[in-house]
Amino acid sequence: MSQATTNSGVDVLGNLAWGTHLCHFYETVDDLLDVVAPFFEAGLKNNEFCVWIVNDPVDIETAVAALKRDLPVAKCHLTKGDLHIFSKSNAATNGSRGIHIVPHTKWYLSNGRFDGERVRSVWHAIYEEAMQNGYAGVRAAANESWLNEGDWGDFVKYEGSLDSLLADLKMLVVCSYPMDKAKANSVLDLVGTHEFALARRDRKWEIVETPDLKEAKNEIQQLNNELEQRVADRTEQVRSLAAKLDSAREEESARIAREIHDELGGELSGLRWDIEEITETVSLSAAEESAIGKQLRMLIARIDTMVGSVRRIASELRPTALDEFGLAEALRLYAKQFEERTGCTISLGGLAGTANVSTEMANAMFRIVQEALTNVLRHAAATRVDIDITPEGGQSVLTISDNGRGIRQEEMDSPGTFGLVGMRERAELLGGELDVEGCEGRGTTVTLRVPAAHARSVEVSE
Amino acid sequence: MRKILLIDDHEVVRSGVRRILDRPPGEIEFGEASTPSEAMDRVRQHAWDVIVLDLSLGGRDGLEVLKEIKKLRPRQPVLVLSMHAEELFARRALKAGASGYITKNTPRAELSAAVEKVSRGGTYVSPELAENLAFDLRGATDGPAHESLSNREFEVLRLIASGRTVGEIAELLNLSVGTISTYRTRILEKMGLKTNAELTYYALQNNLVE
Repeated sequence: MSQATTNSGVDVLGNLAWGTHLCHFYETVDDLLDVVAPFFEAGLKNNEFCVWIVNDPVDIETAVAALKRDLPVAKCHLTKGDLHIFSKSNAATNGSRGIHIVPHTKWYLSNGRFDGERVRSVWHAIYEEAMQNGYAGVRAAANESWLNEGDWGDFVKYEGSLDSLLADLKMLVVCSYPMDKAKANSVLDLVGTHEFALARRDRKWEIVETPDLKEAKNEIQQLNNELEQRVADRTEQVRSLAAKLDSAREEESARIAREIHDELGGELSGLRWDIEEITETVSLSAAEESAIGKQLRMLIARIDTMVGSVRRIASELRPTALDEFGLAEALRLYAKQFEERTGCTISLGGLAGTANVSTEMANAMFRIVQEALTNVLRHAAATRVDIDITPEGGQSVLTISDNGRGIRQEEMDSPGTFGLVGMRERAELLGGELDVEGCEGRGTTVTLRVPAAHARSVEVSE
Repeated sequence: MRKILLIDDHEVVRSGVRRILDRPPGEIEFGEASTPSEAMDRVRQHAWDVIVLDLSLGGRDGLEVLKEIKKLRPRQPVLVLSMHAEELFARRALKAGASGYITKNTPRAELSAAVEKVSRGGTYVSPELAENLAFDLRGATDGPAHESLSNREFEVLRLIASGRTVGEIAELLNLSVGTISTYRTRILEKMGLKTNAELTYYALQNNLVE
C-alpha cells in the first residue's frame, strides 16, 4: 500500500489518495450500506480508525445490525455520552479493530444547531489520537440526512473547508446524502465542495466528476505535455552536444595523428639518412665492417620498423585518407591493410554510393567498421569478411559479416569487450540503430541502419 | 649550376635531403622554403632543375602548391616527397602534374636517383608503387554474376531460389528477417535482377539449385 493512497473498498473507486473527500447519493438504505460496508471493511483491513456518523434512516441499532450482517468480523463500538469518548484509555479497552458509530446529534450539533467550528476541532482531535495510537489513518462515513434548509448554508461552507482540513491528513471521508432530500441546486452545491460524487444509475455505481476534479486533471495533462516537450528538447540538446563532442574528438584525433605521422615520421626519416650517411662515408676495415657495418644496418632496419609503427598508429587514430579521399577510399585502404596484417579476405561492396555522405556519417561508418574488424581479429577466428553499404527504403544500411565462430548472446550482453556500446552510440547519434547477430559456427553480422537524410548518396561511375 | 628547390616544413628533412643531393658538394644551388607563400616566391624567382615538394606541407597544402607551381611553370619537374606510402596519394599527385612520387623513408641512393631521373624529364615511382598503380587500372574481373556474391549471400540466393520465404531463411540461418531482407536487396542489386522469380530463373539456368 503506497503512502499516498489507500483502498477505498468500493470497486468503482479503487484506490483513493489520502485527503479525499467524496459525496455519495443514495436512495435506499441498501444503497447506503452498499457503499459504507465495503468502505469500512477495507478500512479495518488497513488498521485505520473507523468512524460512522449515523442518522435516519439508519439509526444506531440498524447500523450495528447491518454491519454485523455485512462485516461479521467487525466489532462495533457504540458511543455513549460525549464525543470525548475517544480517549486513549477508551481506544485501548475498546480494541483497535472496530468501527466507532456516533449519532449525528453528538457529532454535528451543539445545542441542536450545526456547529462547524466544533466539528472541525473534533476531527483534529480524533486524528491526533488515532495517529498517536498507531493507526494507519482515519476513515469516516457520515450520513447527512439530518440536514435541513436552515443548516444548509453553514453546512456547505463547512464541507468546503473540510477539503483544506483534510489536505495533509491521512483521512478519507464519505458524506452520504439522501436523494429525496437533496434538491437540484443543493446537489450542485454539494458536488462542488467534494472531489467527486458517487451515484447509482441503472443499479450500477458511477462516479460523477466535479468541475474541480476535471480542472485538476486537465492541468495535470497540460503539465505532462509540457514536461514531455521539455524532455524532448533536452534530449535533442544532449544529442546535439554528443555529436559536437564526437566531432571534436575526431578533429583532435586527426590532429594528433597528423603530428605523429608527419613530425615523428619526418624525424625518423632524417635519422635514417644520417645513419646511412655514416655507412656510406666511413671506410671500414673488413673486421670493422662485419661488426659496426652490421650494427648500422640493423639500426636502419629498426628505424624502418618504427616508421611502420608510426604509420599504423596514426592510421588507427585517424586515417588521413578519410579526410582527404572520403569514406570509400579510406575503407578500401583500411581493408587492404587489414588483409595484409591478418590474412583475412575482405570484400567491399556498395562503396560507389557513398560519395555524398556527410562527414558525421563517414566518421561513424568508418569507426564502426574499424571496431567490427578489430573484433573479428581478436575474437572471431574468421577467414573472410564481407562489408557492404546498401540503400534500403529510405535508409542506408552498412553490414559487416564474417564467417567466424559467431558472437554469443552472453558476449553481446556484456558489451564492454566488443565495443558494442560505442558502436550503438554512434548509430544513435545519426538517428539510426545498430544490430549484432551471431550464428554459432557460421559467423557474426553487424548491421547499421541510418536514415538516408544523413547519407545522400549519388550514383558515381568509377 | 644546377638549381634544386626543397619545400618542406621540417628542417630535419630539408637538411637531410640537401646532404643527400649535395654530392659532390658545392655543385648545386639549393633553395629552401617551409611555407606555401615562401615556396611560390622561390618558384617565381626563377625556374629550377627540380623541385622536391612535401605533400603534407603545413598539413594539407602540398597538393595546392603543386597545382600552383604547375600553373605557373607547366614544364617544371616536381618530385613529391611524402610520409604516406599509399598509392592513393601517389595517384593524386601524379594526376596533379607531379613527375614522381617518393616516400621519405627511402634509402639515400634511391632518393638521389629519383631526383636525377626527374630532373632529366623522366617520371619516377618506386617499383612497389608502380605495381599497385598498374593493378588499380585493371578493373573488375569478368565472371558469372553470382561469383561477386559473398558466401552468405550465395547461401541466401540458393534458399530463395528453392522457394523459401524470408522468414524461413531467417530461421534457418538464425538471423533476423531484416538482415535476410538486406541480403536479398543486395543480391538482386549485384546480379542486376528485380524479383525473386528472376533470381530463381537465374539459379535454375546456372544449375545452382535442383
